[in-house]
Amino acid sequence: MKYIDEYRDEKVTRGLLDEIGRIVTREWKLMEVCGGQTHSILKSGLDQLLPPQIELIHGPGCPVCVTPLELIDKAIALAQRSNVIFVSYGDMLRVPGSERDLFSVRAAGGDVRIVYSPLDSLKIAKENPDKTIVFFGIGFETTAPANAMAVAQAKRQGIKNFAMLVSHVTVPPAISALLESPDVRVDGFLAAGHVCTIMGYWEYEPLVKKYNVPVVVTGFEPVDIVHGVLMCVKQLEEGRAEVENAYARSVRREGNEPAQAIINEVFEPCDRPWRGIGVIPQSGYKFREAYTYYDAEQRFPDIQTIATKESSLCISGQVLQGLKKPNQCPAFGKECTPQMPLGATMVSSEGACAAYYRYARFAKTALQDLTQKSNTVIPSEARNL
Amino acid sequence: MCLGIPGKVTELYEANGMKMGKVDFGGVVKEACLEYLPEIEVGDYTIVHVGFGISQLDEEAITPSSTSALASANSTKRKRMRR
Amino acid sequence: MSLQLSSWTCPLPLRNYPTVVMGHGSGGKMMSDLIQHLFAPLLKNDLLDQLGDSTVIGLSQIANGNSPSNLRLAFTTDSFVISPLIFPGGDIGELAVNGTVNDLAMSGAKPLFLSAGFILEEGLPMETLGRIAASVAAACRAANVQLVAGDTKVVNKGHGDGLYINTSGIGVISADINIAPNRAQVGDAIIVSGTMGDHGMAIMSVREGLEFETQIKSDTAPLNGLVEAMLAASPEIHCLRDATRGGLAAVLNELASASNVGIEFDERKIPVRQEVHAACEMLGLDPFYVANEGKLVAMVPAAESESVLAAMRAHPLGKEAARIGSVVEDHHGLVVARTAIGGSRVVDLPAGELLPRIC
Repeated sequence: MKYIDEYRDEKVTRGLLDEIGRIVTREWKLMEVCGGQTHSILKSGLDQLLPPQIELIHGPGCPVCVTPLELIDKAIALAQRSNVIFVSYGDMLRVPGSERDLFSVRAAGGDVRIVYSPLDSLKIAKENPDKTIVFFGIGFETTAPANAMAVAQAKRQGIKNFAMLVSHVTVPPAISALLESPDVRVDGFLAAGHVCTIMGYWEYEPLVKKYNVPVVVTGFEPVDIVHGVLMCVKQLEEGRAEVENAYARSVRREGNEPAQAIINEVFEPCDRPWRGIGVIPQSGYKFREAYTYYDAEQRFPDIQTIATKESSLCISGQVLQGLKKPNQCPAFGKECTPQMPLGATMVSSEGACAAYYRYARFAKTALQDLTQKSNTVIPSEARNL
Repeated sequence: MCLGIPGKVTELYEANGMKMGKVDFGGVVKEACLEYLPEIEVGDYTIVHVGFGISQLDEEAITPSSTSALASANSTKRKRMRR
Repeated sequence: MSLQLSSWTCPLPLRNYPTVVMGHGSGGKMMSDLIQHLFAPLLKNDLLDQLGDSTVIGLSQIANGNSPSNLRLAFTTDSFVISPLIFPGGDIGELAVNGTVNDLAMSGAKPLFLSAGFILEEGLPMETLGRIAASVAAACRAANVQLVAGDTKVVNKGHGDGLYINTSGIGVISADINIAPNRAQVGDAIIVSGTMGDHGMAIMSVREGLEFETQIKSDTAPLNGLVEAMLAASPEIHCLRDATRGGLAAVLNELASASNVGIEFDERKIPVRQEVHAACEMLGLDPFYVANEGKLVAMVPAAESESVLAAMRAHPLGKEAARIGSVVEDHHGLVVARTAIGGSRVVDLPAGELLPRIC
């Protein structure tokens, strides 16, 4: 596939890795913000190929994992209603609320459907005029224009039996929050290429100035990621802190303006809780006044009484910042497992806690074999088990 | 983040007042909303996320690095792109 | 295969009912009509024609010229539930025959006889049932097995997905063959018989809400002929598995843990069709986790691997066979993949139902 295969080339990756090896003089901790980048890093084994001085910290950029427990409980409450067809992106179905997930609602007879595009939910609404279609509108800035379009279209086409349960989160406030934290130990950021495709990267310029931390806009294929790491390390080694773009084939400084316009038309910023992390000010979207008719929380006001408290045991916020290791958490492997996760880092199969849990299953000898002989298999964060 | 996959626009049309199109991902064709890409034309490449084109890929984008490894990487890429 | 409605022996009773109704499971006249006019003409053979409560088979028919005392029987059962019933490249009927034939073949058995139980949902179009029964018949012929026992039940509308099929099968294993999931040995070559992920992505392409346009077809096929050719090349084959649900990753994990060995394979050596690769990228799925219905994984002593591969490639269902990796001494129970960029990763068991990702 064009634009994919050439960015998974072993030789090119090696060349870039060698270049990093040549210029690195000390340890650097870089955070890849986006869960898609984490996925690509673990899937390609990239973390094992980087020079040992480079540690990648997996950031909070997975909208599925950071969706607060309370909203999942609200989703589950809506999906159980006989007059509702609950529509979601596939990866949301497996994420547990406090008692169950959407899969088990479907098993109990709830009408829960998976779509590829939010526009598909409008089709379902037209085909089922006697039901209310509730779409689970999750995502970062990348997904916001698509979800916003579904709402704008519902309004334009006069589709009344459609509502959206909104759980949108935004990246720059989260990065600010990480940088504000007094014990932050991230030296540089790889910004999420697709979020920046929509929003551009001008928003990071004041952040970089204020905190003196390099930000490199980075794509998702292995070559893209190593390229982002290289540019970031180069800045650090040269004592620079700038916003640079390693994903120029898709990202422009100003972003995609028509897409930003529809986000602003439908949504406005609001404070938003992140699962296992807490409320980050102005880090989410809610409906603007003109679109509140489509807000599922207003259409079904009784779900507003659902107020789920998240576990106080969970330390995923600290794990995400690289301050603690998953097995330093009192709940790890006890109250918190991939089947019944407390925080974002256990929800996502790429999250640090889930990765720890997965590899801890294997006999210690197998782990030693791997680290000694192939030296390239276990994610770095699981090596210290 | 966000899973975004590059594909080639093979057809453009309008539906419900939106710019829509067919996008070919290496032999798999899916409908996408291209409303956010006013300048995109048939034959251009776009990145598609949840059924929406989010960017028009720039074939000529120079990767901003002068390292030798990357320079040679880019020249191979370029050759492949031209095929 | 399309069913010629007009060529039925006596279409009238069925023509009166364009869909299955509860009466077709009543045990009375309507059920008898269904069997006599729809199933029997398609599936007819001497053994089925006994029409007794059970089918009686002579041991000599099973032994097939071998000495019965050296023979072992292989016996298996599998149930088939799939939506849609008819999908690109096949249908539930073909799948139900091939699935059980393949389960028998994976123990090195020569499949001989099958039974089929049909659970019909009220309202199933008679034409669909006819087409699927015809497809069962064609699949039996292709796999060279006989359907010797059958059953039909009807359930109320809303209590079944149109049609479920259960098939059971009997086969015989000759004395010199010893294939089992716990027999993988360090040094064995790991071979796959062809492209991975075709069936699962063909189904995904027609799934409501995810539809996409593609040429991808299910790979459903009977693998007994291929296995026969492999065993002729080397009876020393240690393990055979058809890579169905959970795909290649599930099979390798099961074999690694059953045999308590480590497994290493090279991602780049795994044959994957361009369209399947593209569809997986689009939905955020990994082709190693996607189901196949006509592909097997074999563990073969390294010394025999070239002759087995050659025999596979000479067979129509093994043209794209490839050696993908080896059984290793290290990391018992773990499957490790060498990645496209030269890294490596642990390939875990799939978590559950494959879901398209947005992130």
